Amino acid sequence: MAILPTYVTAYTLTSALGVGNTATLSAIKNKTGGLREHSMGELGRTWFGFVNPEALYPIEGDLAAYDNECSRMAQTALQQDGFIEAVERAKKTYGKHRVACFLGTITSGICFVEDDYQKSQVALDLTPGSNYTHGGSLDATVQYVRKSLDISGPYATIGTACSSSAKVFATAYRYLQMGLCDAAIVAGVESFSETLINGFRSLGVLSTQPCRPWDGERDGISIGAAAGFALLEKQPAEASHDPAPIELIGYGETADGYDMTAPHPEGKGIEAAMLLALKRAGLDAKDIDYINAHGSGTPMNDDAEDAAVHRIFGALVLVSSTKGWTGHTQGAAGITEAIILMLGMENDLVPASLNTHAVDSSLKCNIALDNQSHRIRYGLTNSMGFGGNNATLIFGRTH
Amino acid sequence: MKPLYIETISLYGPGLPSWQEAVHTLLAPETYREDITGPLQSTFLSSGIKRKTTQHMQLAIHAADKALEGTDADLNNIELVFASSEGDLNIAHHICYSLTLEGKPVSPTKFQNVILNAAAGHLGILLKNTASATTVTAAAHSLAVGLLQSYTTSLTESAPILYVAYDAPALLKIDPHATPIDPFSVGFLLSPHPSERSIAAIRLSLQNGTEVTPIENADLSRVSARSSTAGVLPLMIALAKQQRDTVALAYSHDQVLSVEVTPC
Repeated sequence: MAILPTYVTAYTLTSALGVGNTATLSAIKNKTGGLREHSMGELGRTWFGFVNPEALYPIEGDLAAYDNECSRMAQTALQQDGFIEAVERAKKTYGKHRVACFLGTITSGICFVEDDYQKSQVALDLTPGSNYTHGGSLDATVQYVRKSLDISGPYATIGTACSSSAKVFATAYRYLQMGLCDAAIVAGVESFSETLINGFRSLGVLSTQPCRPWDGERDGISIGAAAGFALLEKQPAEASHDPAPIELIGYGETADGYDMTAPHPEGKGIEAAMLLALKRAGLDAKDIDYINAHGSGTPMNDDAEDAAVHRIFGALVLVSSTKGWTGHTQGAAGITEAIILMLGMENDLVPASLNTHAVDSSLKCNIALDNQSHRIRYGLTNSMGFGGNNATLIFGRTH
Repeated sequence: MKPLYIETISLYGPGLPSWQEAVHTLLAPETYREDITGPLQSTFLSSGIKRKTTQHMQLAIHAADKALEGTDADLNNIELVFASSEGDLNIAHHICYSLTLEGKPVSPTKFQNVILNAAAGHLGILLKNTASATTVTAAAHSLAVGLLQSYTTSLTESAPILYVAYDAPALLKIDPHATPIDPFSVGFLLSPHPSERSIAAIRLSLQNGTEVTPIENADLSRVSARSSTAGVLPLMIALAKQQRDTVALAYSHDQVLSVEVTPC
């Protein structure tokens, strides 16, 4: 059942922590979180983790029709950390039709449609009648990425709520192993949207403070935005690596079959996902050096995940949620946290569970309350989404 | 490419109220009558589920129910792949409209149902299914993208897959000039291994080009063009004929999904 070699040959993250990996790592090392207080007028106040719009690159030229915040987030991220150069190398090696793209998102360019509704005359039986092919379609962002990078391999947009951009890794693995592509770009992109903010407000789960996962005083989520990309290949980018390249070595995908918004109270679904990932990785629980938890900061989610993690790993392995740094980046959360994990692996750094001051006394996991210098050979990250959708990824440096 | 086996089929669309009835129509297309539509009724669609879901989700649940009917599939542990061209755009419209009102009164129920995987989530709860559930979208190419997702998942994981594709008309249109969408859904129970009930083996590959397999009958051809899901009709005709055939389904702006069909 062990999975075949799948190397992460490039990756980049743009989030509230900054544009690109260097800015992200610097923010974590300097303990500068990305959450900022926002007023929603008479609807209250909350904390968000959004990317400064002025930092985003506008879309111009032939692809100008795609110019909206979501595509700008994607384009800005793609320009960082040598990612485009890595894709060009892959295209040159394999051919552009052999480079796939799988993107996770919840809303894609819904912000574009929301804006149009604000400007247009609408009613319950009246829509604006605009063309949203390049903006509001859930397919628009992946098409923008494919066109921007000039690749034509297999593709899909995966929408499984907050596990979307974790599941893209598993999908890419399967396409690589089936020989349908030789390289796969996996991505998660989520931008600011009133739909997400007011949807979560309607559910009463927006935090009134910077989110505090696992803390006894936690009261909900802080929404964030991010664009993350990784390039997966069956071969490492270079013949010899020192240190060893990072590999995707395990994944687990499950469902709770329990509730649309609440996790299984004992975390049975995410527990099964972690066990599947460990089995595929050929690892025991004791082999994992760090867990980047889903850790949304809602009482129910953290309770469920804590129970599941503790049943498998006990209280020895270091655990943190990085949503206190970036906010909950929704459809981009899976890859956001996978990249923070990989940055930690490359820099021997376990990031703190920022804003977690005193761990809830009823929870049992070993939460990292401060950044810790710690070698991570094998790291695990969890994602849990609406519809009871769970995904676990394990990355390692094995060769 | 390796074969994947179609174990059961469900179909719902205008003039095609079930797969069993559709087989006769697809073999004798001159008998096709678009105005014959069946009710969205199935075991899974109890009044309770209908209250929680919209037509869009009900089309998916109906397709799943009919594809699983009478099978020995492990309902608690069958992997799901769902595909729809944009999710439920009526709900997206309702939310965007609510955001224009004072207090931005987004309905929590609508919010949980606006996510692309809402139908798979509701079905998973109904079945107490704990296996992987993946929902994909690719606008007009969602049917083929979802079929390829199912193919790669089933063969790589060596697990049966319930694949459901579905589309429904909505007030909010991504392209206002596009052909109006019909309510349409299709379901396949797919297995990496043949069985006594296997209907056909399919082998998928991507080919350059944009020409999809044409449908001779003008009425069926028109229906097939009305949604991503209805684009499955060339494959359904091949399956109804129970003859070896290869059909091309729309996959991208420069590729088609070639489906080689070998009856079992």
